[in-house]
Amino acid sequence: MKKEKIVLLIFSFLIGIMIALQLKSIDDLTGGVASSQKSRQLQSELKSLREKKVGLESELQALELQAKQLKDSELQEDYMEQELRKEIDKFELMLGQKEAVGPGIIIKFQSVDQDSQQTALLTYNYELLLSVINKLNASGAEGIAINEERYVNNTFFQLIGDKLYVNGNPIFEPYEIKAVGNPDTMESALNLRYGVLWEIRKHYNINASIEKLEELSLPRYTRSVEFKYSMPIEN
Amino acid sequence: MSGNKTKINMLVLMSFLLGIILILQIKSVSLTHGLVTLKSIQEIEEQIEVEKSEMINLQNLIKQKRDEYKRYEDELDNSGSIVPVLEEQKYLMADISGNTNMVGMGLTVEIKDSEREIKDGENPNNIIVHDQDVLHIINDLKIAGAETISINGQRLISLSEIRCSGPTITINGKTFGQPFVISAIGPINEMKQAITAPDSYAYLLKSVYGIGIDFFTDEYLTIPKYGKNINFNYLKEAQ
Repeated sequence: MKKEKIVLLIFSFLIGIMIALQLKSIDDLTGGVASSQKSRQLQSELKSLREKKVGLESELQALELQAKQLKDSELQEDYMEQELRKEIDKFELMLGQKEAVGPGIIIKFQSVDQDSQQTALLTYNYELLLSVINKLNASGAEGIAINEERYVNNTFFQLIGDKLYVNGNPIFEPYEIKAVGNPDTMESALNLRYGVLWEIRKHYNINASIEKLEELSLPRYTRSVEFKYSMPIEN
Repeated sequence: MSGNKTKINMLVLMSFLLGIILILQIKSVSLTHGLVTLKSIQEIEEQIEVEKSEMINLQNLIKQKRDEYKRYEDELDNSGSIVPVLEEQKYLMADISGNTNMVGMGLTVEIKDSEREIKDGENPNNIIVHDQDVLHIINDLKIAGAETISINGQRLISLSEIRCSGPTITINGKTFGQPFVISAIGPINEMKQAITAPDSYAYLLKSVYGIGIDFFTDEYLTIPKYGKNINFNYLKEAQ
């Protein structure tokens, strides 16, 4: 009788440990759980932010239209003034001060396994993203964006804590790089064996897919650039 | 015998209770009042952060556009034409887009392959300068505030590509031999920090791999403009 009790005790003990382990491993997988009330609060905050953003966007559009109409009515039909306008338009396109469109590719980086955090490696090794952008430039890309940040002359990547900032704005996984240019040239340049995408796929176990598109749009650069140290000089 | 019967009754009762509790538990999980994973909350928080920064950016843009429009109007009142303002805008954009020569205080960094012998079994790649090394150092300089950058006299813009293949570097389609010379106009002290601090990438290259990294500062560093003509064949303004 006593022996039976001891066996029972041991088994209960084992079951207890197993249940505890099971719960722990679920926690690890999901990162723990929280009440859905918090989630709903955040959802509604996000919604109101998005509504405000739409309002700001239409305000901006109205302002731009106003400026365009002014230029339309005030600029003469003469060659000099029209040339000036064309030049400004080209600079704006190049500096990313306007939303731009064109054919190109989208490169998406995703973890092979949904639960793993493989893509976080790209956050810590952001020079891989720099390298992808460099390869795109080498294959004739005319405009590039990462997530919603346009890549311009003074764009840099910065890791603060465990967050990646581009153009001073935070970007989050999953990362995607959009490039306007010749889709076929860019795709084949990136898919080169032993190239940077190969490295990302093989060494970092990240699924890097390339999608060719007839038309994609690049966001605008939203900051203003002012030089404090550089002075222009005569050629 | 009667004692056994009470025990069995108790067991039935307890199992019954356990069943009900289990069902309640399961129900509460599937209800809206249930639990969500912290991961999904984190995702929403990230989205909120992105939206917030986008909103600040939009507000900045709106302010810029208002100022711009006001300047058009003022000029129109003063001289009756907006051409002078547009001219000024054009020159400013030519400056920041890399279409003018620039001068200013700055820093020049020279990078070359390591001169040490490779150790037994060591990968020779370790002591050679790669594209990613140059990209990383340039990114560090930009973080430190570099405004205008050139590599071996070639102005670096958003369209520039860097290709290091062994002993040569190709930038903007032109090829140069070692050493690779990066010049940057900007705050000298911060940029110096960016390449000499013990946790910087340049320091790592120098101390671990023996890559040659030298720098000198200059009060009047000149950086030439981007030499090539830029024509967009694919990129268009969004309508």
